[in-house]
Amino acid sequence: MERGFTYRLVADLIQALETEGYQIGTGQYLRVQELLHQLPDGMPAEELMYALSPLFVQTSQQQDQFYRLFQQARDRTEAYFHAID
Amino acid sequence: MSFHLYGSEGQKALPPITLNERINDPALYLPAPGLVSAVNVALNLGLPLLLTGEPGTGKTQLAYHIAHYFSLGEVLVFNAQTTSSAKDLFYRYDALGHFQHSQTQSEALSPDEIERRYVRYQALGAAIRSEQRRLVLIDEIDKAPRDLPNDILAALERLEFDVPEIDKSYATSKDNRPIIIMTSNSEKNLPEPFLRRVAFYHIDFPTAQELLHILQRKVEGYQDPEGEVKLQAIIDHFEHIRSRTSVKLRKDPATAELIQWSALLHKLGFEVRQLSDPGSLSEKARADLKLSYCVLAKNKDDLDQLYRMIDQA
Repeated sequence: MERGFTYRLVADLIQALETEGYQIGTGQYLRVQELLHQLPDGMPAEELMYALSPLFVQTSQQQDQFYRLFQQARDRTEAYFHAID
Repeated sequence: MSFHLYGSEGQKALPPITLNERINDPALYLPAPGLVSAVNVALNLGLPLLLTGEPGTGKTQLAYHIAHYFSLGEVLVFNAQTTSSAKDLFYRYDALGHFQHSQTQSEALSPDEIERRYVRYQALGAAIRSEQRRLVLIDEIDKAPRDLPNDILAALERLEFDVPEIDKSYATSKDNRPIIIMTSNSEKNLPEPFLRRVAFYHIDFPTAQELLHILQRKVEGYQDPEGEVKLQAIIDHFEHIRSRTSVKLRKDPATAELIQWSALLHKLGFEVRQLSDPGSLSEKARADLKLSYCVLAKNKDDLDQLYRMIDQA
């Protein structure tokens, strides 16, 4: 995935998580930022999902929910980039 | 090698017993892609990795796999208990032994001698004292008092500890920072601030396909051309037990039990394809199958349920 796509996807995902009641603290934002800096370019979306999940989820139910929310955020981000192409 | 080593009467020499070393071989551990990513996140960000999942799904085994993968030496294990304190993570001091020595000997011991005799370094303390990077496994952290998880995080930030009994301090560098893997059988009882500061991964129970791959790696005796069919028959029977349709066990067997059961069925010479139709089992096969259930059931009620399932088939 391109960097621009990744950043938009992550922003969309964080918004979706907060809507679902996840309380995301400053420390988590900083760790996500740090992680995104370290991830290689062109990382497949599924791998990004697996990499972000450990920083947000705290239970098995949240892990399943996170995977669903990630897929939805990915679909929305793809639709956004299709629309502006 | 015969399965029947021990009998009720007589006497004979115990022959050499070859155990399947593949079962606990860390090199053969098969982590799911999500788990691999979680480990990479924890390593790259310097966070402890907290693993949850049913008992027997490989939480502890992961620690041994990582240590094997990076050649980190022996895993330093801390088994959390309800009485564990932050100090226990680093060292234990035998105050009573030292006191007894003081009462019986007139000469006072030097700090080095006290350390040698009465101080035992525990997992995190040993990791900080180590000259090489080590992996620390903190097992069943949910059993520990509520303050301990936060104490662990504080210790990781400092990377040093004091031993006031001998007036010594130990520290390590950021490059030598221990890798921390924590396991929990319960998602409750862990403080929210702690959960926010670790990488978390829940190990789901493996799918049938994943179980097949695990058994192919771990269990001997199913490497022949029909091995996959045989293992599939074992997995189908195992999943039927876990599905709670004909039995409702108090403790469902997990992957570790499946591996042991598969190995035992092979040692018993049990024709595993018959598992799809237990009603057609001979008396001998029925008895062998019941015997094998002792590795799947962990209490009398569950074992009785499995016996009834076979008797009514």
